[in-house]
Amino acid sequence: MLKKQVDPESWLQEHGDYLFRYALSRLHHEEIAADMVQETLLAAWRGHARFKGDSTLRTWLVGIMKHKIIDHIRKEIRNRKINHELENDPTSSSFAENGAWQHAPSAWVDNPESRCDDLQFRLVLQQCLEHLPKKQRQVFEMRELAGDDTSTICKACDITSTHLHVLMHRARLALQICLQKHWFGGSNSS
Amino acid sequence: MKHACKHVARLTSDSFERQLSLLEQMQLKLHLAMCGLCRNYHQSIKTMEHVFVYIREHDLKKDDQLSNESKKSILYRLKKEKMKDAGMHKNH
Repeated sequence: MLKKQVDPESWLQEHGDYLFRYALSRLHHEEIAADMVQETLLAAWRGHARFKGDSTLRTWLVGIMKHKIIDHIRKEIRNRKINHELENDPTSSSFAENGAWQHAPSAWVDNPESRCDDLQFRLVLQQCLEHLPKKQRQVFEMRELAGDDTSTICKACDITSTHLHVLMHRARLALQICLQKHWFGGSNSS
Repeated sequence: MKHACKHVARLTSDSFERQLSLLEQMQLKLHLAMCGLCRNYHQSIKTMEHVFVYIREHDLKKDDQLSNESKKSILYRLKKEKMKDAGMHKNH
């Protein structure tokens, strides 16, 4: 029987830490990330007959985990008031009454693409992300770190695509200001 | 017609989220041609996108690990599940 070859305990040994890191990078909470690993492995065990072997085992497990994470986010959002972050417009402090800039965006001469492996830069970026309002951060990270598409995010967060665009815009503006202040402005005093 | 920077900042972000209408594309292009601050903003948002694409493709912190406690509890659940499964198969 095929059954003998399937050993979920070995999945935990070989892929557990990887899955944990993946969940942690999305959810930022160790306990919840560990729960996600468990949910994923249990679901994988129940559904292992469906694993065709045309992707690697790890890819298959990560695919299951993505769904588990989205389910989790959806539940969490249901328990929270959804739209209060949409009510006031945090971008208004960046613009004058007539819509002109108050905050002056500077040209980022330094090329941050070459900085992606720079730990200092990553730390600043991380801190800027952590300062975003919860909802903005959630959709922004689903979009930019997980690479989820619009309909996935909208379904998970129970928002319309217009809301998503508003939240992405606010997050980008907030990050632009934060990075300019703490990295591009700060590192170059000339 | 001169479009307010506030509107253009929104268009800048939206251009990474959806296909802009022809009118919006024109507004954006014309405004960027005239406004240095919005050009800077547009450029920095583009750079930011590249950073996240890079991170998306290369990431995951290498040092985080499941705690032994979590591992034990997951193992326990998996074993229980396996036993349940084996029990069910006997009935077939």
